[in-house]
Amino acid sequence: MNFICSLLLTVALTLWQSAFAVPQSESAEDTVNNLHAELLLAMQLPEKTSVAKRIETLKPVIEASFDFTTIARIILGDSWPTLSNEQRSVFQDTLQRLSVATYADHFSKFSGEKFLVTKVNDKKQLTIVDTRLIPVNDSVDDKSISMRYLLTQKDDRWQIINVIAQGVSDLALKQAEYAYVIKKDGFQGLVSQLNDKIVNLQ
Amino acid sequence: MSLNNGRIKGLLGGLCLLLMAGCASTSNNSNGDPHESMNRKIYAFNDKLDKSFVEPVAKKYVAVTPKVVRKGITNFFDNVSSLNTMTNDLLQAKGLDFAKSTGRFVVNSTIGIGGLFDPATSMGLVQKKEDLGQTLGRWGADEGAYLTIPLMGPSSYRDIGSPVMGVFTNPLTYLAAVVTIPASLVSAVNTRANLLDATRMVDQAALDPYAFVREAWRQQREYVIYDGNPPGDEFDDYIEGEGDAAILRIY
Repeated sequence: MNFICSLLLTVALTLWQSAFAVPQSESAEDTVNNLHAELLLAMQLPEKTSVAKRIETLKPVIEASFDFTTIARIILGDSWPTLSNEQRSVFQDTLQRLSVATYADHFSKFSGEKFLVTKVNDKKQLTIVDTRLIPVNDSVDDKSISMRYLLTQKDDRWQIINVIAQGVSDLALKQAEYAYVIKKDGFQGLVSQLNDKIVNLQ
Repeated sequence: MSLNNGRIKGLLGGLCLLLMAGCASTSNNSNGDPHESMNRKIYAFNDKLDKSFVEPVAKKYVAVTPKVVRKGITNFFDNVSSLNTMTNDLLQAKGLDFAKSTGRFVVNSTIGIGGLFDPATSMGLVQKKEDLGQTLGRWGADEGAYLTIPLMGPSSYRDIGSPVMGVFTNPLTYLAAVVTIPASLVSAVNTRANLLDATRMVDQAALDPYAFVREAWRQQREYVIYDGNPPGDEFDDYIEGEGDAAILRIY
């Protein structure tokens, strides 16, 4: 009887503890795998699916997976300190909408592709997750595309701050382009042109 | 032998003139593009020529040529360029890569019927392109200033010799002009056709296509010079507080 009571108490305590347990934070690899899983789902939507529907499908995972505050700051570099809080917020929101629209446009067809994590390089503040997008013929070496993700941890969540596809950094591309556009057309000009891009993608 | 000294001198002379013209219009430029003003003008010229003439020809070519035929043509010209890859593998002291490139060339030239087919890939001998610019980079040569070459596109001080070496190592160069010229035109149109999706992406995605192409090209060059594993301790730079700059450089 004592044994049964002890057992019941142990089980009860375990259940009670798990009800209040802090959920284990996802690893950086989990963040990337979740993103890839959603991208594959979006790619497998019927061909006639509207862009709006694809955007609606991808919006939650893109917003959760990417640290757009940090990305926005890095992209604008020296211009960032000169912006008001409202301007920073506008730019970050525009960047977010552009990213969702771009992913919805790029990942819109499926031919049997799959993603494969090949290496995870963990440091305290930064993790690099190396992956490959493998086309139909299942060969890692042939036409597969390397995609490297840089993630940092904020509030117990790992979020992506840069994607490097076949050696080309998305952040570096945007920084170079936007620096020129801000110099030529100012901040409003940049935001206006980004909004035009979003409309074209949709 | 139809390749004569006159053609070589003309090609080298033209390249020298370009470099000298570039020297006349430099500026202080922190993004490794001291000839940006000239480069942008040449980019605009190339883009206009492409949109007006080359791209429409490439689209027509895609429309009338079955995919299997285009694939065969791509395979043929890729095979022909293998000699350039093999030469640069040797110059980079990459013995294993040289053996693989040679094996690939032999297999595709024989079983692949003159390079029209690519059985080598299914044997594990995947295509890998090397050129003079990559060789110089591998041995420590810095990229130097970025250049936009008329009709040819992105390059740099280090990479400007790559097409020249490509001409010398291409066996088609040594055939009669009646073969070389049409072959070059077919190769150019086929290459442009293969890039239609990429250029569509640039047109769609880029706010500043010139900067987009420049940065993408430069980063890709570093990537291929080090075969996808560039050296460096940018990772450690981030940890030591260089933060944003390191993130941009971690490729």
